[in-house]
Amino acid sequence: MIVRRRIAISVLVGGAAVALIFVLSKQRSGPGISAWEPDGNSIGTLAAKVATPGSAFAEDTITAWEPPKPRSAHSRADEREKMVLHQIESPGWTRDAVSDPAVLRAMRDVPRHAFVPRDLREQAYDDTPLPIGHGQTISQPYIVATMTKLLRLGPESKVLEIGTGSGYQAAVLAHLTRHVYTIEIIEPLAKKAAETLADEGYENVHVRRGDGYLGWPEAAPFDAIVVTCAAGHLPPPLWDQIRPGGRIVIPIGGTFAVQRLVVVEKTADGKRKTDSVMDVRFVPMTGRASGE
Amino acid sequence: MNAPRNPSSRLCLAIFLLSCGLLGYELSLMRVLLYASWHHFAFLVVSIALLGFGSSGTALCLAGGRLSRSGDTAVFVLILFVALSLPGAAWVTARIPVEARFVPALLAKQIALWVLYWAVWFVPFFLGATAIGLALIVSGARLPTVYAFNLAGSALGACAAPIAMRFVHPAWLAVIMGAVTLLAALPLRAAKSRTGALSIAATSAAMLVFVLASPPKIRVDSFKYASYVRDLEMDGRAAEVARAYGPRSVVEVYEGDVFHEIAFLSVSGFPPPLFAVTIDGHWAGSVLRVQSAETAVVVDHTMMSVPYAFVPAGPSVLLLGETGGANVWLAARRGARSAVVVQPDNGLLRVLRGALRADGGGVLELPGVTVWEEEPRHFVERSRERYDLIQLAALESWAVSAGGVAGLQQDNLMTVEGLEACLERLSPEGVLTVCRAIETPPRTNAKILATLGQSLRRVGVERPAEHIVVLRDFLAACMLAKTSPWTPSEVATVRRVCEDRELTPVYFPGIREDELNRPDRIPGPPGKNGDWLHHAAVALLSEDARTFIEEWPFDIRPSTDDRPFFENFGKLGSLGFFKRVYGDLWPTRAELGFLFVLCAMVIIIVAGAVLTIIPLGFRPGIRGAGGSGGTAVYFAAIGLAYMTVEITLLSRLVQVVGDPVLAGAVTIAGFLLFSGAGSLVAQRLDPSRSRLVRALLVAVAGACVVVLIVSVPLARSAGWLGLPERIGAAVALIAPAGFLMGFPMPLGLRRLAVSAPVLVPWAWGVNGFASVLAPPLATAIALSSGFTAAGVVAVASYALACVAYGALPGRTTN
Repeated sequence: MIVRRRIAISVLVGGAAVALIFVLSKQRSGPGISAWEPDGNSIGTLAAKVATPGSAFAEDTITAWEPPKPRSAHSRADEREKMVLHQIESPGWTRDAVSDPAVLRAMRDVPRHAFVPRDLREQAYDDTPLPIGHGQTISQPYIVATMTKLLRLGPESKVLEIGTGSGYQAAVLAHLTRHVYTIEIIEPLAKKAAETLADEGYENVHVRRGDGYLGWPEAAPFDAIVVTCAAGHLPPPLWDQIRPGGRIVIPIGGTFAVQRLVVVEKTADGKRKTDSVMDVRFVPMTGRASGE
Repeated sequence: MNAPRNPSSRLCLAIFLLSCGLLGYELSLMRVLLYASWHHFAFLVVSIALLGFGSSGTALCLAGGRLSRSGDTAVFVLILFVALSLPGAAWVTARIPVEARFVPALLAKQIALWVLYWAVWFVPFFLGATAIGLALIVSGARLPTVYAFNLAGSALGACAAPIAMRFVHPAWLAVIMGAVTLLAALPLRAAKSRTGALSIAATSAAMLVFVLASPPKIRVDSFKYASYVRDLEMDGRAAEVARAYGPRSVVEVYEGDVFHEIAFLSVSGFPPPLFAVTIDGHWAGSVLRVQSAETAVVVDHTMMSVPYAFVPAGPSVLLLGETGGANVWLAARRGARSAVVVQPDNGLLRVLRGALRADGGGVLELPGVTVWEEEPRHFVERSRERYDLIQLAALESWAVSAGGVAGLQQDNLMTVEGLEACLERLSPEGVLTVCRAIETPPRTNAKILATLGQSLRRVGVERPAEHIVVLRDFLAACMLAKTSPWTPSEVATVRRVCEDRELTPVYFPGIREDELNRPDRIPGPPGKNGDWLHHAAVALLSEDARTFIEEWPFDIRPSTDDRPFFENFGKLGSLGFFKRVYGDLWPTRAELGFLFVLCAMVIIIVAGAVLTIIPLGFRPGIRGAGGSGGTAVYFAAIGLAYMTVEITLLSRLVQVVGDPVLAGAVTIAGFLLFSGAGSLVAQRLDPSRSRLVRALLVAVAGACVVVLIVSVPLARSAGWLGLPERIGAAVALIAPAGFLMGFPMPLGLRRLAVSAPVLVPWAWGVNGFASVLAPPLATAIALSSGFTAAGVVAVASYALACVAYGALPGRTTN
């Protein structure tokens, strides 16, 4: 009886502490600051700091993780439903359908229009890439879904995105796993993406401004890496930062040409195995996330 | 009231300078477009210029009476407007966001922007041509003299523009031509008045203020490499360290820790600091910032190191089109006893030997390295040396893989004849190699195989399938061709190299099914193990390559000297296929170069009809006039023929001269000069002598045939000549045909002037329309069927003109 009471009190106190810290961290951080810091230092989220391996309430935090609930999720949900149905789940005979329930759920939940400039929001759910300023475009929904599917993420997977762009892909990833890291080389883009993600409530996305070619060595190894900008070759640092058994999804090909979406797997013995999945068209590794 | 007589020397000088500025502007436009976009669009530039001239003729016909009464005042005012419009058009077009990458959701808008872009460039041509036309009208009996000065000034402009390109950024060329044009106003009588002097002063001040307030710049296509490098510059992540200008290219070199591009680098290598080199805004290569071969170890991890496993120790190496020097480091690391670098771009060599010499550019001065500043094709044609390894380094750049509009570019090395010349430079066990990015479905690599197959046959190989090996990883394919068959021990080496370097074999003699498509899998035919490139190789190296070529969705016919558009993969018949497979994204997949030409042709036809012939067709006296039909046929035929010959010969002369802008200058100036001379001589002939005129037309057609035939061996032997000699040879080639081609137009016009003067403007307008249509038409024919086919069209047009001359109004004597 006494033991049970002590356990109950511990859980209550621990839970209250966790709740208090959550509340306080929300009040300290404003838009764009909670997950991003200049010069490549990421603050990280509260869950990452508090949840150290082996701690009791770390396990509770992990098992209790739920995908984020973006603030604009209620808006234009019917359009997202149609987008998922017609462009992703049943895209026609020219494309392979995406049937992963978690990916489809993420595509339904992420408010794509929040990541698109106001004057193009009407087309946000069309089956087309769209310009979003700074000379870049946002990928077609189908491409985002396909790349996400290819990553094969679980809730504890650690994923790195190279080329944050608008932040949309990072937001989709954040619905599948709690550990999302994303890099953008051009500062205005990085800041804007971080602000949008923070506004929508994505606290499990770490945004860094930096050279994506070098990856994110401090957070490595990763279970998956997704590169959303064209590269002439697979950056060796990314290969080093993927764990055995992990996979990299990257468009390979000439800049401003039609590239191939390639899945690169690192086998258990560290060797390379690749599969070219489809033709895509991304702009080069500058952090301009675009694709079609 | 008669037009006031103007001292012809003043008018001649004014027209001379105006013509110089206009033609210099025309060539400058090609240079600007090469930098801003993906091609020089010579055919479109020429069309726009001719549209300006043609529509000015129509305008003068409709309103010239009023203008001609003003004498040289109207010419003076027009010249001032031209001077302002040249930098003005450059300023406006730098703010029009044209792109060569067509996004489906924005297709209509992008096409509209292109139309606007060309409409703005049209304005200076229209104004300038109106000034010239008006000067011809007011010069009265001195018209031939003024006309001769027009031609001479144009020729000078064609020579001066390339010189200017050597020293100034392309953005400033329009300003310079504007200043030259402004000088044209000074000799005129109107300039001597107080109002005239103030006008000139005001125009000069306006141009100066304009330039100072808004320095000229070129808007680079946002999807070109240079555009994103500029973003990096603005962000402080990159800095330009060197630059070189020339008629051939603008070379820019950047440093920054964000540059990591090394072609086809495997995951086992890490790039050292490097400079990124752009040529006309495309990434052209990287210069490793290393000082010795020992520190250039990264090159061992590129696909280009694979061929060294198949050549003798201490090979002699030939690098055709090498840019950054990475392959030179590789040759040094592999113990090559000699490395010959052939690079035609003077600007690039100046940068490597100058600003970058102490920081990687010194690779060109390594012991055993020789550099030739020459066209690769010319080099292999004239050289008698043999090499153990010949590397087509120019194809390694991603720049040429953009396809699409870049498919309009000529590549005189990557033809059956060009590769034949390369194979003839191989030592008995030598290897010709090219590394090129993987594409799905394959097109470039397939075309290389198709072209190599035919080239091997031309050097006496009976079974090309035994002479080619193709290996790849997931980035690039490496093709290796020998003039001797691959031996069993060499094939064993191929297998070992694949195993050691984790490469995927694509094709070699005796390859097994179980060896295909691993460890790097790319799509292949359903139900089969190999990838598409493997199946393409098997088919293209067999006796029945034609069937595969016909059925493939891309144009992979071997490129030839007659049709040297290596990067052109578009097939009109495949558009339906691309639409079915890619849906709304088909414009981004269909290799649009050919389609771009066709769209340009349609737009030009509409613009030409609206601005030239339609207004004239409704003019009283012309509509329903007897002989208008025959007049239209005759003048359209000679207009079509003339420009088709000029555009076709321009493309041929690129193979002779080497540089497209220089070739354009020589061709345009040459035709102007010699045709002008021919026109002057034509004054002495009686246009009523029908038989004589017809004989002349036959002679013109015959001269065109001879010129187009002679241009072929001239192109092949041009390598033996220096640049001045090649230009001289080109001029000599143009002279006879150009001279004779100057006869038909004035003879026809003089006949009409006597028998049906009301039809003269109609003839002028129809001729202008046909001249505008001809360049894109000739380009489209050359792309699909080759220069010979375009030449046949030209000769047929002169034949039609020969028949139609008899239908012109007026009495004939025989």
